[in-house]
Amino acid sequence: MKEKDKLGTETDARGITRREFLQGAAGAAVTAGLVGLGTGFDIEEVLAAAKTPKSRVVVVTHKKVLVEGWQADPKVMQAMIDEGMKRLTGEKTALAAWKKIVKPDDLVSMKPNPVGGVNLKTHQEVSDACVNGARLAGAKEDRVIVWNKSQGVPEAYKGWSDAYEFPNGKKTRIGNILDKHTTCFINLPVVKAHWGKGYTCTLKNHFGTNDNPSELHDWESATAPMWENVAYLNNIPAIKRCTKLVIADATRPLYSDGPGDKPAYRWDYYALILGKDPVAVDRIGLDILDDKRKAEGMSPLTWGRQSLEKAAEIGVGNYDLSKIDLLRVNLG
Amino acid sequence: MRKFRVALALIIAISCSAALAAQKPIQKLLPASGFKGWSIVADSYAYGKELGLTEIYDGGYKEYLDAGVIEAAKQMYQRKKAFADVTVHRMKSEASAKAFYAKQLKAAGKDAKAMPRPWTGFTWTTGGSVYGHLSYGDYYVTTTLTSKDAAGAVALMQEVGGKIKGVKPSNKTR
Repeated sequence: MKEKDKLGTETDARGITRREFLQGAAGAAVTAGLVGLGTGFDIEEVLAAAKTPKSRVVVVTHKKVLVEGWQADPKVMQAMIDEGMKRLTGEKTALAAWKKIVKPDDLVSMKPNPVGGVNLKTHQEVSDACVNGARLAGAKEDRVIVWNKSQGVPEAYKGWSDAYEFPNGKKTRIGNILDKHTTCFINLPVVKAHWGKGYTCTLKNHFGTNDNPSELHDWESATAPMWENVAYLNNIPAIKRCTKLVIADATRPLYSDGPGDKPAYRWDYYALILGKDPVAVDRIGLDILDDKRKAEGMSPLTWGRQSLEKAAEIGVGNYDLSKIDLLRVNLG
Repeated sequence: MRKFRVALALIIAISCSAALAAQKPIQKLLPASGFKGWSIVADSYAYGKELGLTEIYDGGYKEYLDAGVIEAAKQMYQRKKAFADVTVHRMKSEASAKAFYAKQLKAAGKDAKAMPRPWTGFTWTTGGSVYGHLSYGDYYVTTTLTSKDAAGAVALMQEVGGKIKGVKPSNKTR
């Protein structure tokens, strides 16, 4: 699905520009030409595959990121983000990496997740580093906004969009800041198990950008289960169009009984997960949680998995590991 | 000039009392800014009632509804590099507050450290942070600190407990 974004750039479902797409397709075609000589390699198949390029996800870890309790070392966090940004974009410097994500005329808005309380919210150091990155890339100070629900939203951008209706009949409105103004959205979630077998990370973080999260919150609803609502919410064109970066906080994830803080189910993982594709980032985060749950003798977070599969099915991003280019970087 | 100052003082006093009146009664039970050096973090107040508990607990609201929470108010504080959350819950009954307390105490296990008498409360230091729980009448109070300051958690809960004590039955937050 192609559409024009607010800057007039033609993008696909994951915000990939036509130029990026052609570069990827051309590369794949050349490779196919070399590999496939005399082997009957089907160029149509290669081109079809190039239409859904792999989504890069970078998991950066550093064991010194947490200094006391939930308090983080800002220098270590900055180093993790710098390295993650470079690996994500393929650029040699963090500045060049940020310039690839943020344009000087962008309205950059970012949404951390504060719901888990002081010990389970997105680290302030993460949003601070993103604000700095956006500013370095040329975004104007008054056009870099950190917000959640109505908090932090400047008066000029307040209010709600018209209602969007999901295929299951549920309706929701998203903040005008996202629907009408943001051109570069940075999603800053926390990796957490949700109630029951649910999961919350990037996609679910948008329950803090819409007006009626409580009406969409039933994982077990027969007609409009939450796993479906989460997927549909992320399929709203404005959200797909402006989402340019995800940095998920997995320094000390919550593997059961979330989304509130349950210290008995936390463990130190010391990681940030970076990507441009929200589904791919969530897939990696979910695998991290399910691996931990398995080690603890618990069942997998199946509702979370259903949600991601649905999101992939409707074109929000890549869920299949074969379509995810996972890079792990250990900094210390 | 003196008349002007008096008028200004009156305006400020009226504005302040109007702001206080706009507060939910349960909000008044939270520690005031400046208590033991804790200052309120801007824009960090949250209030929820029934389904609106999602404002505080997101999808975790069901656990609190099931436990008998009717309404809750939460505030975040900062003291130097440390942060604290304090949440006051009004429960359906004293019995529901006690039952929820027992559940949390069980989760903390042997690491729970009882608050000094006469309080029914405990702190749990784990992962470099402190979690506190207090049950008082039909109220339930929680606090979370980003540091290992158990005494700080106890002080915050005692402050709220003291305010709850002062709530007369006829003036409860209903």
